[in-house]
Amino acid sequence: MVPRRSLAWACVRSVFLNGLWTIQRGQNLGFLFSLWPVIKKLHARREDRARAARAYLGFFSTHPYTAGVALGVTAGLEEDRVREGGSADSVSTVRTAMAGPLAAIGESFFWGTWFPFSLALTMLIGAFHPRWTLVLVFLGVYNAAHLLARVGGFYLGYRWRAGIVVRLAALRLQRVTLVLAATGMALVAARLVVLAGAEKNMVLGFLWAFFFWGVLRLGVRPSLIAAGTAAASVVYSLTKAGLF
Amino acid sequence: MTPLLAAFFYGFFSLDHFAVGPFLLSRPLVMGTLAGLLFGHVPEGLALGVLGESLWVVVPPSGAAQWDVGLVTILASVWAFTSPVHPASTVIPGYALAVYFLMAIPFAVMGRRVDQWMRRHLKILADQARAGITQGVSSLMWSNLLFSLALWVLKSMVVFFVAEAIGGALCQLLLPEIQGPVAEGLDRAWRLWPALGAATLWHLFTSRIGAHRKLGFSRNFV
Repeated sequence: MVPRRSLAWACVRSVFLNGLWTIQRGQNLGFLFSLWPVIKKLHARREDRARAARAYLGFFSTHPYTAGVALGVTAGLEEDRVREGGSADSVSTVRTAMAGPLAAIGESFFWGTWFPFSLALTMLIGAFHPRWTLVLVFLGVYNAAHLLARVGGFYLGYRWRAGIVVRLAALRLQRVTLVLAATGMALVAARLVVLAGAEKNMVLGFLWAFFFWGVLRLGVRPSLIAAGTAAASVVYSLTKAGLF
Repeated sequence: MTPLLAAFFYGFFSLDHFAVGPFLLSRPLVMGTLAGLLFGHVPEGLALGVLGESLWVVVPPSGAAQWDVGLVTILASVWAFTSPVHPASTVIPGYALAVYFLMAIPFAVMGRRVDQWMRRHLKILADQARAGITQGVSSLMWSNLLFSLALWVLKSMVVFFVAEAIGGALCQLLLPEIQGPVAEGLDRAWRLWPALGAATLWHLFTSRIGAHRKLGFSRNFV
């Protein structure tokens, strides 16, 4: 058995997953760096450690938050392999097979939904209390889910091994994503109401947001729209002053 | 002294974008608020942070191909809060914040080139660490990881200083010239941008729901 302390240390080290990232091999060294406390406990001899580590030197790339699951599964399977015998390559194959789906889950849930949701919530709170503590709310809300996924994913991956795939599918994250997106839209609308109400020009604020949304739907980048808005506003002011 | 502190904080927190976490420490909201706290302009720092965050909510917090959006906010904040054009105790006008914000974008975009150059050259450290691992030795992995983190901090500080010096000088030349209708127009843009930020977030959420609709709502709820 791998001691709990080594498992905990491996989970903590997973925050360095993106360290020593290379285009040729992605996060392979970050992954190996995280797994190293487990490998060190399972293989007493240096040659055995080297042999075990070589299996994980191939290309690996996944989402940094859901990587905990792959790390936990790999630690568990590596432990089984040492106890029951078997090839290190088979463990590495499981790891590689999990990388793509885990990356898709992380991208869709964390980058695509949880991050904007946390921001929308923070911005609504900020409309009432624009203080520096707002940043703590933002970081707290976002990182609560992040750390839960990282630590919980590692723990459950280690406990359930490859069986976690079926259990992850049963989570129905798509449903959670949909509910979060709908709630996020309500939060954005509420913020617009608060902001527009403060400027006593509610309809105009909504109309501008609607206009910008239409431009964004055409595929124009927000930075370009921001610059375009500035240019158009200056031209409008110059025209109004009769200078253009 | 305070810009030096801002550079150090940016360099340290930018690790979150390049090598650690990410815990969102290098995002515009954090950078803007931090700069606001450092220079005593919290409302302006917060406003710049919220604007940058909502405009670039689609840019993931980490990833080799992503540009560091936090750099825009920290640069704009430092230029705004250290400019001799605005006395320290006064509220910085919206048009000036708009100019600083727009001026910072090209610097952050160019900074991505330096990031890519760094990533290419850090391969040497990764190769060394890999060679050590194949011998069963982990010490090189530790030392090279720490060294690469130090290099990322240094790189971010250098990029910050270069951009801060060049951009700051340009802003000082440009800002006194902005008056009358031009300032009025930029002020209007500054007041309109929160609506653009809200629209960006709204667009992101509607895209997520649209993607679900394409997959079929029923499949997600049955």
